[in-house]
Amino acid sequence: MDEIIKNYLSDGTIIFWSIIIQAIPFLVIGIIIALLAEWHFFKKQTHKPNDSNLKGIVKMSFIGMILPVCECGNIPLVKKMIENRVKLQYAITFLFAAPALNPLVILSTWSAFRSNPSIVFWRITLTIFIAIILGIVFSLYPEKAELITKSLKEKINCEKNTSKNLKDIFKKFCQEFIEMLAILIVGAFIATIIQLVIPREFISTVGREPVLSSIVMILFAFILSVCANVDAFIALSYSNLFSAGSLLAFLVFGPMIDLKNVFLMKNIFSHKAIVMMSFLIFILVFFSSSLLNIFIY
Amino acid sequence: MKKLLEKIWQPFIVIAYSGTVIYLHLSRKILFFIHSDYQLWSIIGSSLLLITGTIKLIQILSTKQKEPFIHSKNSLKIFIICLLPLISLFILDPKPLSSSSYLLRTSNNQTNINNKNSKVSLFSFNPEARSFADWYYLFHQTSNLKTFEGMKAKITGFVVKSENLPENTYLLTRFTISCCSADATPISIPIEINSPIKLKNNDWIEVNGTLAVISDPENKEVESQTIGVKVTNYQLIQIPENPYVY
Repeated sequence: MDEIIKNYLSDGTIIFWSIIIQAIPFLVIGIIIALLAEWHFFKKQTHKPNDSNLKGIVKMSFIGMILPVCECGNIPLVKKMIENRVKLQYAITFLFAAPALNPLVILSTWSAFRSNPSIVFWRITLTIFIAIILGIVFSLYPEKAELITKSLKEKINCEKNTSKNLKDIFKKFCQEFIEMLAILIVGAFIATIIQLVIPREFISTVGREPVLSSIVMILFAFILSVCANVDAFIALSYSNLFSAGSLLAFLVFGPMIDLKNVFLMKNIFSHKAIVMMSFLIFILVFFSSSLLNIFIY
Repeated sequence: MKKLLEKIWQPFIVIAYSGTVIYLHLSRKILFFIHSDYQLWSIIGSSLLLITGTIKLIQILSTKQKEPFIHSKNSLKIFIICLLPLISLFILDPKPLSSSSYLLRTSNNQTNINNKNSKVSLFSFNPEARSFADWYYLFHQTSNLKTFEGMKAKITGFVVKSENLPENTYLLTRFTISCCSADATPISIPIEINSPIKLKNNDWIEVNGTLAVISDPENKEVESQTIGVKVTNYQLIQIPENPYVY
């Protein structure tokens, strides 16, 4: 009995730390890009005339294609965008589009699904579509201040917020990193507990049901909290059990919302906003993947 | 002392995390956690962390002005949250995923093996040079299992012994990963050992033997067959540097 408990503790530690170790480089790179962007890019951006809402949202959904940041690195960048008064709907569109559209993710999806390239096409299309819908929905939301955390609101109102020189970047880095790390730790801990409790056979058994398969894959993506750069290979390993539509549900939902991400997002958005975004994304991914299952695959 | 701690706890945590990851790289235990393809990313990330943490520490120690203690209410909570995982890692010496994860993660007809780098062929001249992943890949690519009968195999893995298995039958197991151990999936090859010495769960062994078609020990209800190894000799080994297969 002792041996079994010891093994569970050991396995739990390995799973938990693997999520942390895998996320750290992307978190670090994301924070550095965010601080450099704040230092250089956002200052200039404030002088540019604002695009119309829809044009700006569509633009933001494509920016992820040129930035190699996955979901962990993306969150610090979005936080800096909002701190620097980029419109909330633009930041939300970028937040959900960028992880699955970054060039490394497209390449890995192509490499995993060479035999079924339509998966790559639909992953890109559905991601852009859902991110734009979210941008539009939140651009219509009347009380945008309700959607972000109190501490972020205070930072937005603070005039001296922007990094003035490289020395400031080093000063801010540690604070930003630790804030994100603490949240990542909580998310990784919960993901680990769930992985140690729910047998995978249960997920794949339920997944054989045609109606439930999309929900199961969405749930699986949420629990697994794996980096968008490699999730295509994980989806590939389930291709003999699940329909293409449900694999797409996994590939589209995972980079947008997962357990680890939800906790990281708490650093930016209010609980209400996170629940609304998660629910909307769930509904959109579920219906679009089910429609693909029915009409295309 | 308290004031010093208040000033340096943030760079301390940053340096502690980078130091831990660098230690795992130096001790080669990093491969218990992540795919080898991610090593470079991890080295870059932890090096950047170490550099920024050290610069911040020097900045704090070289200025007399007290650092503003931002979010002071939450600081202790955040400090403890960040410290606990470090302590857990040092108390529990990291080991690769064990047989306990086998049952939780096993799922029929599903494996993470992509074997994109493998040039394994059924007709290669030296079957004994094939790895665990090579054999597993071949078994699942070939419909006629009898093709393998009589071939010699030398494979390494850890032992899973469940109550359902016949007395001298074990599952020689490895975990496959795509990214990190969070996505690990077990793959097993049954082995039959005629030895009075009983193997325990999680024993790492290297076996030499002959492939044979046997009844599938994991599928008793449906009479199905699988390919297994009739072991001629085996030896207990240390946990390999890279316990997972890709």
